[in-house]
Amino acid sequence: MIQITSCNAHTRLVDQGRMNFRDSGIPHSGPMDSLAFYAANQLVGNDLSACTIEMALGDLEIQFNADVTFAITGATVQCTLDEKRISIHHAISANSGSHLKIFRPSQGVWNYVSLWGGIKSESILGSQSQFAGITPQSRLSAGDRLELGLYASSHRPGSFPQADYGSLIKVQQGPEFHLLERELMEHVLSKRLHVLTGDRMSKLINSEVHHDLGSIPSVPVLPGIVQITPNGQLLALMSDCQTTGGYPRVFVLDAVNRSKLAQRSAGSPVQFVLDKQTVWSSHL
Amino acid sequence: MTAYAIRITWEPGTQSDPWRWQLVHALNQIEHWSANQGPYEILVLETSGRDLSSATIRDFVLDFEPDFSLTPRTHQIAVRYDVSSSDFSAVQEHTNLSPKEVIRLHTAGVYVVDMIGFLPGFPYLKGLPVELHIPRKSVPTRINPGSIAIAGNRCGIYPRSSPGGWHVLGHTQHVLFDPTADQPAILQPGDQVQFVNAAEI
Repeated sequence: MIQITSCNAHTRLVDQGRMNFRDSGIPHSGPMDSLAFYAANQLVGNDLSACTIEMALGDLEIQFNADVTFAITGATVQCTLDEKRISIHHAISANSGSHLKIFRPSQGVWNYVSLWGGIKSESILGSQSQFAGITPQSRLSAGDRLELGLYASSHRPGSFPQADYGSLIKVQQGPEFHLLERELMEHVLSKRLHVLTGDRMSKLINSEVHHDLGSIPSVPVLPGIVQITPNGQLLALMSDCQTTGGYPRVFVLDAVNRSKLAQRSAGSPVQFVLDKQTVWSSHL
Repeated sequence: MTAYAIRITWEPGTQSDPWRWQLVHALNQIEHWSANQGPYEILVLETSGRDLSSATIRDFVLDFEPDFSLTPRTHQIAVRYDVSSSDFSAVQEHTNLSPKEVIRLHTAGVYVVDMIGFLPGFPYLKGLPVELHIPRKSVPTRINPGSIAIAGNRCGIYPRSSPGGWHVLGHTQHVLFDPTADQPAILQPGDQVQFVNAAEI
């Protein structure tokens, strides 16, 4: 058993998400940075889809009340185990009674803590990912106790290459890409853009493209779709996004580039580059 | 773990609504396929990580035969109309109708669930009488759970509290969403909805 002794409001249980209830309007609620999520599970030898702790902007403390093997992945962040510095992106064993502290990331937003065996909690509609109105709690809070699962075999830690979190984001053409005039598109793609705000639903990027597309009839949307709002900003849809939307879908990000964008904090520059691939498909 | 998405589109007017509702339902019965819809588009996800070839989907769609003889489910939903609210007044002002007329028109029609989206279990209902068509608010406001609201040519029901730009006419106690149910959205595309004035029950 482990206990959350301190955390911020952006700390929650996350697994691979619930994808089979989109027609009931239920968001995906998978990890924001799926590369870091998979890496965390791979490093400790878990099933890749095992439930982890996801947090934005660090600030987490955990008391281990059992011997555990854990890994921290994602944003660049300072961490201590019983006040001794530990490195992220490694499987680490800790004895019962030890105390993990994750500070605020110096670069990036999202971190994952995986624990060998995975975290046990009720699976609702095929996922343990916490989401308001679906799971009993919408996030983790200080004092929460979490039970860990067990695997028959001892852990076989693997390695996983650390992701590149640069500012270059590859985009593919979205379904309404061709509605935008060529000059406007080139303007978006040649400009250094900035992330304005972001949460688990979306990331708003300032592009300030003056267009007259307005809204379109509601269409299905997915994490990774980038819409253009009526006032010309780009709205990249993230893990908890709605299942339908009414803005033109101009770009699509694959899982790698969605993860990279997720890690760009408010104020960070981003540069979109059009991928040659023309087939419209989204890799969650 | 990768999910592949395939879009199914058609020229507006070339396919019927029951075809779309039943096709999406059928697609969702296939293991590892997850489909959702807009008025002129269906999006299918292959969630197992296998590459979903567009030919497989094309064959499924072309072979699909809807059953037009199916009788839709009908839900009666009791509404407590908030005639004194500012939203209700805005509707009256826009439509030039008395509160009684607004309620009469709103309860007169039979609505059909066109799709679920925006929030878990939020139904987009077709069938709002043309006299009640009204543009959405320019600035969204906080909307309470159970709110029955209108915008454009649609009526919707908020299963949970949310910011929203629709004009609220009243409230219902009717449960629209239950995450512990096999089918969490109680209303499904193709279902019919009839609103009843709670004050007259």
